[in-house]
Amino acid sequence: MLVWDAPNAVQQGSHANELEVVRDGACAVTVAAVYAAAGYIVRKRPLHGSGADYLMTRIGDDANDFVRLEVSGTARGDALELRARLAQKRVQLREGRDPGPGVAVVVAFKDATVRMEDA
Amino acid sequence: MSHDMFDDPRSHEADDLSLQAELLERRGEHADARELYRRAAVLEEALARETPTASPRVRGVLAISAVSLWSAAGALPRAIGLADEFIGEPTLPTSERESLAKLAQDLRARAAQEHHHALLAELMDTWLRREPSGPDFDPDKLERVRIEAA
Repeated sequence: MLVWDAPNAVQQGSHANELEVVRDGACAVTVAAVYAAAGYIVRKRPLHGSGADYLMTRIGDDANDFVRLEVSGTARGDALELRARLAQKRVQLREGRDPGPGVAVVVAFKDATVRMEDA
Repeated sequence: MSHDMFDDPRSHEADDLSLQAELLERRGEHADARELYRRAAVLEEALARETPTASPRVRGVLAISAVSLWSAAGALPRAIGLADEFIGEPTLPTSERESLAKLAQDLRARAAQEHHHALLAELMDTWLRREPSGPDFDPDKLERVRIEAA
């Protein structure tokens, strides 16, 4: 279970861009979810072009065995949109040039649901 | 056991700097953002160079990230040069070298476009400094340049 404080008026005002809020929130939830569900620790946030939002390993794994992580979030999406986004992220990971393993995660805030899949 | 580059404090600092740069970009503070991207690029490039060839995926992904950071900092020649350097490394995985080649191709196209825009801006500036009624003033030519620049 994830618990956080409700934002105050100032915090709400300074984070009023829904696209950014959903993206940032999805990343925060995902970092916790991949650890809780699969023991992954996020190790690196490479800039665009590397084919992943984050790189992660399991505890004790060599850094060179990193797994790529793609994240997506939706504020109001239903189960159908969640599935579509997951498929889109899976395709993104598979189309990447790195044949190494990847994980796609989608966070749906309306239904408080997180789905993840190996790609 | 070899040094884990993801645990290197410079890696964490580079990630923090690029995140701060993104936040500045969102606020429209592009010059400050570019400076932070530049500082992150210096760190990431050093990490990529120091990563042992025995960790080719890490070396490759850090090189790609460093090239992207130099690009975000607006230092296109540096970004292209670094990409070309790592593309020539046979120890890097093919996937990483292909990604770097694509990045270099995109950056060259962007550099050419920026050069073209700079020439157009210079030309427009020259025209705008002229006397509107002078013998060299040609409003049609100025309009053609304006349309192309747009």
